[in-house]
Amino acid sequence: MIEIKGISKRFGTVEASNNVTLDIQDGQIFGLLGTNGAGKSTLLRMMSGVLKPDGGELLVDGQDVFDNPDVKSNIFYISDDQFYFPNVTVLDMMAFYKVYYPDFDEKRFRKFLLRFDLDSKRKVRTFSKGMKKQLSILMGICAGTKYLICDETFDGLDPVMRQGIKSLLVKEIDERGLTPIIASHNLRELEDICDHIGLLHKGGVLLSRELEDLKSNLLKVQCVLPEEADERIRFLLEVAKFERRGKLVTMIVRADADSVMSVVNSFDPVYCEAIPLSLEEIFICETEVVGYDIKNLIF
Amino acid sequence: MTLKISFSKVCRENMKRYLAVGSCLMFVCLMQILAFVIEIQNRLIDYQSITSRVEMLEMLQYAIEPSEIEIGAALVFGVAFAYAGFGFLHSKIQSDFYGALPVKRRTVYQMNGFSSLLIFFVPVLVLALGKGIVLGVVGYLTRSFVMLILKGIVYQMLVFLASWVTAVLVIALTGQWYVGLLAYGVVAVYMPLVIRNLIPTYSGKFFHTFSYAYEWENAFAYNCFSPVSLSFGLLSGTETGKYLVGIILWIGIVGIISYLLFQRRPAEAAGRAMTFEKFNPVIRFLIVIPMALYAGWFLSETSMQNSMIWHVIGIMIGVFLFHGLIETIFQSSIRAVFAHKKQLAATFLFSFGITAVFYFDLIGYDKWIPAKESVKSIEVTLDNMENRQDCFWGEKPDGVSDESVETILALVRDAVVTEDTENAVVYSNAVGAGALARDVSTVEVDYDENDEEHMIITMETAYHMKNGQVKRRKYQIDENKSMELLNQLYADEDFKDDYFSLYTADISKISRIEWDNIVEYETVKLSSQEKEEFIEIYRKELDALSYTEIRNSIPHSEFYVTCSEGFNPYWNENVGNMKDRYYIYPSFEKTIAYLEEHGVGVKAISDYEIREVRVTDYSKDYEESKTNVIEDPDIIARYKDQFVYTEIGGICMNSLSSNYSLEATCQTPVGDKTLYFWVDDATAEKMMLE
Repeated sequence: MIEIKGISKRFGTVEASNNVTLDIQDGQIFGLLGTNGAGKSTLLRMMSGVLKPDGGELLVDGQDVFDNPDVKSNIFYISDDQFYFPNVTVLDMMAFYKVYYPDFDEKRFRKFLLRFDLDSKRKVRTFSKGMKKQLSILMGICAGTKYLICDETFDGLDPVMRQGIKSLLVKEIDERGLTPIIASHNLRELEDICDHIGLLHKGGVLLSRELEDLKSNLLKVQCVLPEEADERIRFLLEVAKFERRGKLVTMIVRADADSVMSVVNSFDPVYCEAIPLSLEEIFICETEVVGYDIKNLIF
Repeated sequence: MTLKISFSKVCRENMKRYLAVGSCLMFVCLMQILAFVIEIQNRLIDYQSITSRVEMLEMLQYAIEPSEIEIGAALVFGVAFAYAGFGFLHSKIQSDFYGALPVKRRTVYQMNGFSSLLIFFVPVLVLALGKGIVLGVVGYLTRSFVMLILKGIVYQMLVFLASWVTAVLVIALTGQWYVGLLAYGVVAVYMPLVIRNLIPTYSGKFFHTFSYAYEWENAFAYNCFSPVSLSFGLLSGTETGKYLVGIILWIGIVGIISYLLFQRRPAEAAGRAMTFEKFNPVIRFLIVIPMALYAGWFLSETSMQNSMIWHVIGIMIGVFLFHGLIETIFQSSIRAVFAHKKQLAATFLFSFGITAVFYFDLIGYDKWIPAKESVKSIEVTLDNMENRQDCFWGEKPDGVSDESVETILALVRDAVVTEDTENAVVYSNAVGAGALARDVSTVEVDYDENDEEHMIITMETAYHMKNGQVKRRKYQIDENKSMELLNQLYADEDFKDDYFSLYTADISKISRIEWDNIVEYETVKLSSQEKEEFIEIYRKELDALSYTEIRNSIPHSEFYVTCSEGFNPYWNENVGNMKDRYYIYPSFEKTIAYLEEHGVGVKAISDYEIREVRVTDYSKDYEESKTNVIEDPDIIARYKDQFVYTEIGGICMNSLSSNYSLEATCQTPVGDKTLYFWVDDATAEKMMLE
């Protein structure tokens, strides 16, 4: 389990992380979302032991991670721009990681290389960006660690590769309880694979919840209601966003479907429908609440 | 289950990262072996005529001793290896990569240290073995040479380590590779070059009594703050022990600091100029102030007016320039030139303050004269004494004591405090001289050599204080007064001990004695006992030599002693095969007789027949100068006794001048030679009419 309690990190005058508190349970597939500059990479680097938090506590399996090889041996970190030694082949990098991750499964790795059509004797510097990302993920999976931290790793993969990697991850999660923590801007992909979401904005945490829970408690409701009902509806429901176009009301409400329908139906709407939001819509909604609004950016 | 990481596996894997730098090192070592082979071959060929094995061993020793090239290579590779191991700290991507690995920072430091040492040691060992094999093949592999080779290995490893820990330190302190290299350069030169020269530069400019002599005395105190100086200091020969201790301490202390900084270094510092920004103001001050002071000095000297206005302008330019340069580097932006204005102002103030201390002599440097009771002895050298320091190989001088001390102090006291313009000390560059001599402008200095009364000479003193300190000063004094002092000094045994090596040197180290009178030259063949006798005879006659005789006599001839090995305390260096010259004055009859008894054809110049004399009259303008050639032997014989030979040396010539020149063609055993003589004007006038 990864416990993040009130950690903060500052780079000069820039506060990259501000009082972040999160828990990541074993076996979860944790998706880390955030606006640009929210502090996702910083948080992941602190989780990996690359950066030392300025304040707060970051424990992995109950131990401080920074400069702690016992803990870090359970973590494999793939940065958004992964480093490879100049002039090394794939097998050279494998040999390197085998030294630092003694549980590295070489046999499995070689099988993956064949399956994903990556030449083991080829120099890594000749690989494309996508191929390097594939290689990183395969290394991470075969390292045999408990936690796999990926910083925008999927974003460079083609759709077929993405599916292949996703299925691998799911298998690892099932077979040995791998806990991946994935940061990405590709919310569609995260929605497929993650079961827990953390949303960061300006260094802080906006929310951290089970995806199902999030979806089930944040609904888009479209209904036809008289104007007079607007104020009452807003009073009865926790409305995150309210929009009226003529008689059609579109609102995003924080409540479960039954509660929402029961309240709305009490107004005898002509039409009423409650739809779960996609992750992208949840993201936009939640960040709009704190002022990260497309209208503010353009106008 | 996670298996524990093996340190040896980690090290082995890490060594792959040193392939490039290791290959370069091996190449350099192979080139050194090649150069060594050629050197040995050349020496064997060059010295084939030397049949003695001992002499050949001496010749070969210089090629086997640790060399500056080896030391320099160790320094450079220390930096290269440090960058190979820790250069990742300057790259964000690599910092993330290494930072995420399950290994302690301590282990990263240790494995890079171990890898570097091991990889560096192998080629050094190959080089040493190569030298040994070559010497073995040519039959000159002796025990002492083996020790020399081992010494070379030890020196190279120490130098490498010193350079490596310094480079690791600067890499940890900085965030960009070029800033790291600059920082290494600063560490290398700051104390031994920048600071060490700043004090004498300013002292020499503003303190009129400042003496540049014995600059090496404090060298170690500055050199021990630089790995480069410490490394080359190992080759100094005279202070090797000190430098050995110094370099070991450097490795220990800087090694610990570099380790601690590496441990504490935040990964996010990669890409920034400096890691720990709290140090920036200190670094700024330490660099900007000395450089500004140099800038002030430089502009003032370049202006050729020694004006303080130029000095002040130079300081302002220097502060602004170097402050801006450092800020630009720190912030990687030219716009940072005007950053930290308060610090800029403070730097101005400090620079001006330091200059004011020197300009106004706020520490009373020039006014200081030691009390007689606190002085144990005084060394003194005067401009009108022949310089014998360069060839001195006797015991370390400790000056004169007793009466001479009072004479010297009286002279100094007069020089410092007098308001009597006749006795005023005159300075050739009287900038800011106010506290020392009044009405300097009213004293007319006639630098005409014929006018002895106003001749000003320099006197350098070294006060050996009773508390063990040695303080040096330089004064400008009237030449007449210096004559009085010299009269006294030449009668003082202590003075002669410090001036003539033969009084205190190890006579058994004399390998050769040569006699010459400029025209003829002869090696004096004496046994060891005869050498001692000869030196003893000469010393006794030298004891009786007065300064008056030196002033008024032209030496009869001269002899050189060559010492096979010795130590020059004035230059603090070992000397070998150095020639030390001594004049034989006409009164040294026993010396001359001894030489003649032992087969030396001792001749004075006056013993040669003169075939022709050319007298030239320069009393009028140069274009109107006339020359008279005299070939009549009777006429020549009539004037010959008036001729004073001026090429033999000695200080007598300082007081001789003439409007005439005299060239004589002399018959010598080595053929006709043209020699130059001095003759008084009256005699020359007569010769012009012959």
